Order: sequence, then structure tokens, then C-alpha cells
Amino acid sequence: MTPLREFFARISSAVRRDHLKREFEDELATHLEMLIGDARQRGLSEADARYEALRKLGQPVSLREQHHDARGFPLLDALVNDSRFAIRMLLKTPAFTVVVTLTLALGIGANTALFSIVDNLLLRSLPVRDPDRLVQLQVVQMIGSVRNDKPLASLFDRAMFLGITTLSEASNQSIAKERMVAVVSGFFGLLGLSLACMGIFGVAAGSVTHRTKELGIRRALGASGKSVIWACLRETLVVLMVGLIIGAVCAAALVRVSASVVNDLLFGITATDITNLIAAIALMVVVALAACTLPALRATRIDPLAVLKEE
Amino acid sequence: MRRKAKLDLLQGTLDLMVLRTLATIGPLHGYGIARRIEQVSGENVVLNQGTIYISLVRLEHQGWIKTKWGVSENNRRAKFYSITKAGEKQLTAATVNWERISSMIGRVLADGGVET
Repeated sequence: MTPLREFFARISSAVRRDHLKREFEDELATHLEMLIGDARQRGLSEADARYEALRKLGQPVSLREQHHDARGFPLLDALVNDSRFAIRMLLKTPAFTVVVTLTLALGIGANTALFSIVDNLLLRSLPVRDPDRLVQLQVVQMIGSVRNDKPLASLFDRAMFLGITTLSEASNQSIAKERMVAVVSGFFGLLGLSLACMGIFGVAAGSVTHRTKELGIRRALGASGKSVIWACLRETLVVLMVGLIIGAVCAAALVRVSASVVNDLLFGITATDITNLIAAIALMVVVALAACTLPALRATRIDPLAVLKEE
Repeated sequence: MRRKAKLDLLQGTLDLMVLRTLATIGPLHGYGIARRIEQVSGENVVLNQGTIYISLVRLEHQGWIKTKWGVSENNRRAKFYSITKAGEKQLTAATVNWERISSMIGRVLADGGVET
């Protein structure tokens, strides 16, 4: 149960953070004083003793950071900071924000609609148990009449059959045209997805070019390649969140409309199916991240020296 | 690169040394712990003494030590740390583990005699 214990300890620490920070400062001050006293006793001058003590204690700034991280949730802190920065950047470049958000919304909407159609027409089986055991009988001649309350077996005594087809085969034949439509629209869905992908790629690449100076300065100040990639990706992540919400709403609306327009084609399916929506969102997230990763990787190859010389 | 005459600390070993110190001496403040580790190690350990307090935070979070404010020998208010029951158990387990690892690495590194 150690990780759990650690988690709760961190929560309680985070709540009492200011208090604990003061205590930590107190402890460091006391420690420094003791180190100085120690050095003085060995006959060092006040200045030398102080110098030695500071060296032994270590960088106070770094210690404060380490203490802060040990007490709280460094990942959460970083996430909050990153999101704040990303939102500021997005507000500064509204064109980028709008284009990417809309692309995502369209992509998700279109894909959810298509997934629903494809799912309903191609993949879903009949809504009964063992659909393969249902058959369609073609009766040629019947002796007498069949009463509904008689067991089905009695039918076989008095009728002649021409053909027996399983129902799934029969329905496959009867929706061949719709199936065709589904395949074609699936193709357009893929096309739309690749367009969205290219769109996001284009804007992300533009954003990296736009931020060359900033990223170059980050590199010059010692930012790692990883943190530069993250700096590019987190913008996308924030846009993704916004795009996802708008996209989900659009998708629901789009499906309603398309279902009512092509009603007979879809047998009145209103496919606001949650699984389809989630699948479409997941697909868009993967595509968007992939589209942003390439420019982000390019950002790591920015030469800080060239950037600084441009100034 | 300059060879270091003193030993850099392996990850996690500081926590172990702090636990050992508290188990041996009893309640101590941060300075006392740092002083003791330096003395026992024969001044061989490179230690930013401030990192002791980071280690103490980790140990406290795990419930292996507890703290109490008290007065130091030169009459300053100081935080005193002492080991808990759970801490003693952890110390035993971690010591066994450490000995196993170090003897294993020792054996592998000693394998320099036979060359083909």
C-alpha cells in the first residue's frame, strides 16, 4: 500500500504547503548556522566559515525546488503551468486556434457519422439470439391452412419448400445497395480524415516556424529536446480538448440531420452511438498527435545559435 | 572528465543511510544526521547536506519516520526526526536487499582475472 500512502501524504502536504515551506526554510537556516558555528570552532574566519557552510549545504534554489517537488505533485504542477501557457499562446493566435478546432470538430463529426453508418449496415448482426439459425422459407404449396398456435414442426408435414435461406444471407442480399453506399461513404470518411490530418499538420508546422525564435531561446537556455517537443504538443492538446467538445456536439447534430435526410437508406437509424463517438474521437486524437509530432520533431533541430544571431 | 575522488550517492542510498542513522542514534535534527553520516562514512560521501531534508520528506511520506519540534543543544528550535516501527521494518528489508545487490555486483566486478 506504499504508493497509496505516499499519495495521501502528498495531498496532506500540498494542503499545508505554505506552512511546510516555512518550516523547511527554518530548518535550512538552522542547519547553516550550525555549519558556520562548526567551522568557526575549527578556527575559520567568519567569512570563510560562511563560505564553507554554504558550499556544504548546497544550492538553496535547487533544494527549494526539490523540496517543493517532493512535497507536492510535480507532474500536476507542470501540467497546470503548461496548459496555462498553451491557452495564452492560443489566444494570441486565434486563426490557428479556430482552424484547428474546426478541423477537429469536422473530422470527429464526419467520422462518428460514418462509423455509425458502417457499424449499423456492415457489422451489426440481427438483434436476436443466434441470428444464423433464423431461416427464410419459400413455400411452394401448402395443404390446408397453418394455424399460429400449432407447433412449427407441423408446418413441415403439410408444405413444400423451394428454398431455405438463412436470414442473415437474405438480409445481406437485400441491403447490397446500402452496403455499397456505406463503403463509398467510408472511403470519403477516410479522405476527410486524411484532409484533417494534413490540415492539422500544416497549421502545426506553421506554428513551429512562427515560434522558431521562442523555441530557439528555450534551447539556448538549456531546454531539452523532450521539453521542446512537449512545448509544441501541449498546444495541440489544449486545442484537442476544445475541438473534441465542439466536435462531439457537431457529430451528434450531423448524425441527426444525415439520418433524417437519408432516412430510408438508413432504415431510420439515429446513430448517436456512444461507442462510435468514442472511436471517432480516439481516431482523431491519434491522427492529430501524429500530425503534430513531425513539426515538433523538427523543432528540436532548431539551431539556437542561428536564432540568437538573427536578433 | 575529472575523476571523482569522493563517491557520488546512488539513488535511494541516502534514504537508507538516514534511516540507519536514526535507528542507531535515536531522534536527531537534520544537521545531526548529516554530521553523523559524514563521520561514519569517513568523510567519503559527497553530500549536499540540504538534500537530507528532501530525503526526510520522502521517508516521512512513507510513514517510516516521524517528526517533533524540540530544542537543539545550542538552544535553537529544531525539528527532530525519529524512526517508526514501519521504518525499522523497512530498514531491515532494505539492508538485506542492499547487501544482496552489492555482493552480486562485487562478484561480477571481481571477474577481471581470467582473460582469453
